[in-house]
Amino acid sequence: MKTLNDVKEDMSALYEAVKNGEIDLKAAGELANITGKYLKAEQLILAREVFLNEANGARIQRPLLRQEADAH
Amino acid sequence: MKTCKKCGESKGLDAFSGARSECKACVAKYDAKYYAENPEKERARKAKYYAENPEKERARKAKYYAENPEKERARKAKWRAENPEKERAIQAKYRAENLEKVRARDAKYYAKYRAENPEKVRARDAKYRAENVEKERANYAKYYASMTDGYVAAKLGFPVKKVPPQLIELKREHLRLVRLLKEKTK
Repeated sequence: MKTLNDVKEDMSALYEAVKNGEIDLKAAGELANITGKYLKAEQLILAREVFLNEANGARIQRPLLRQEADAH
Repeated sequence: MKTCKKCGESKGLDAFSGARSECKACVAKYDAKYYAENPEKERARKAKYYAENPEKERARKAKYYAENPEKERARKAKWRAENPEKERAIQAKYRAENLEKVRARDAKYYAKYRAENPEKVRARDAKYRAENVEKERANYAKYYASMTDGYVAAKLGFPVKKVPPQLIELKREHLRLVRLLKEKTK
């Protein structure tokens, strides 16, 4: 499974490719769209975490962040 | 009981200062007359005393302020109303010398004001926006182009402190890409 940093690096590479005209705009748009959905999912997890933290101080684990912490 | 050599009245000992033979009232009257007739001399004498006894003077003033807060507030307000230019200069000097302190104080004050007067703040902000459309547009364009952490976090719908930095980085890259794609497909 990719971490947030991996996806970010993919985005940077994609940005450069679009900038240099190395990739079809439609395909790049699709990839950006998928990343948007991925971000939405992360946003929801964060919202849940913030809500739970504010409600009772509990902290739930976020799998992607845990993986990154393990990687470092 | 003691008889005042000046006015000839017999008074209690508390009406006299130490071993003086004139009563406090007569001394005060004499002093007032002398001050009125010799203002320059008096100012110079006081200035010399203050310069030589700064600690004593500070303590005396602090004691007076503590004992007469209302009087002091009124006196200061009167002075400010009568000397607006001087007051502005004093404020500006203080602000320049204590910028961080003043900023923190102002932020605390505005946060409290905002929390206590949300309607007023909303109305004031709306009025400002309506009156400064161009300025607001320029400000937003600057904010949009900056892609600061605060901007990106706001795009995610959270205050910056609550968003992990990795997520901010990813969102920033995504925004950059989406903007580029928009530009290219125009």
